[in-house]
Amino acid sequence: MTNDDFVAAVKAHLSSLPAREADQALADLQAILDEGVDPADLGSPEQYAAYLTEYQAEQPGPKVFGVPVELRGFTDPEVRARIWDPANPRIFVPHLAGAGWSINLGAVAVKLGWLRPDDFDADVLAAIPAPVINGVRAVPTCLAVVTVAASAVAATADSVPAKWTLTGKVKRWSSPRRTLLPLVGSAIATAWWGARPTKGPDQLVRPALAGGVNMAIAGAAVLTARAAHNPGKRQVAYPLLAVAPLVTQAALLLGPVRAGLHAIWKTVESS
Amino acid sequence: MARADHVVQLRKGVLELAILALLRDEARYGGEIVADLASRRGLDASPGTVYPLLTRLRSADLLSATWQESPVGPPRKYYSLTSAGHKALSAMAGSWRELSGAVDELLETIS
Repeated sequence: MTNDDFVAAVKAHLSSLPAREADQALADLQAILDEGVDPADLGSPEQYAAYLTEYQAEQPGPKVFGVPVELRGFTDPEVRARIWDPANPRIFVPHLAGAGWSINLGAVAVKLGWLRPDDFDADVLAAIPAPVINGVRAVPTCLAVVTVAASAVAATADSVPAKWTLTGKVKRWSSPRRTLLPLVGSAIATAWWGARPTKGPDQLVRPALAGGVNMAIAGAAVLTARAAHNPGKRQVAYPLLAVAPLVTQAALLLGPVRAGLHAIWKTVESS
Repeated sequence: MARADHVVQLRKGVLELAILALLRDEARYGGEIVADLASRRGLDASPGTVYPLLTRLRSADLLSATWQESPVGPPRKYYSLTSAGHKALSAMAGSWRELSGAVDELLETIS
């Protein structure tokens, strides 16, 4: 294999890297080869590309005053996978978008003894029954339907809550259209995003993220409808909206993984 | 690169070699590998270090994993060397002996 063939073959396996990082890695490879290194000493193009991808993934991202900043955003499956990585013992991982931290629910599940660090892999993912996977994918859409229904109920009132206190008292009222349209629009967009086909662990992570967001939106819509028709009453469930996304995500991730594990264990025990 | 990073990288490489060596003759599960490393002075590593290494070695096709029944609790994942893993172990062991021999020689001249 010539040097050019080797570089081209490595390039073909670098599709998961951002273009700028891939170009830099290929330029570095070209420099090594120009110095007389034999491509055969670098392993196969697939192995070398895998090494480059792994190396880039291990590089710490940018930080501002010690706070990690994620510039790729949650649209990258590798970034999203941080919220479910049982093999990584760190509970706080760089935020999926912007500055700060997100919670690695996989590490939490391991700490609580619900999973072992190496319990989640491709085999377990493949063993999850199809109805369970389809059910997880349907959750964001079901929650969007709840949002639409609750918004329709709330819209029959003259005004709806637009601002709340932390304890669930209404601070400000607004017209139904102004408050409810953004809720419905966000829920539908999130449901569409969560139901899009994807591969690998993202089959669980993407709908779980979307489900978490839509649980918060559906909860807000239901409380809005209740408050709109009971104006003087405090909505005691309002503070729960803060934890609803995380609890929903944890359930949508852990439940299917446990189902996959049980399917594998059953096969092992019966054999 | 800070000095601490050098130590971390060096240790990671050594632990990878140690894990491959532990699995040379028999398959072991994660907890067993952690306990075995902990019983060897200088090689003790937390599960948080060992499990990501097992994942990395598995995705590099140097290890394979199979589920086996456990006398206590649910089945466990047992790791064993693939043929590529055996080759990598031989290559890494050769490099390690060469390197440690050269460093020992250097250190003898210092003392």
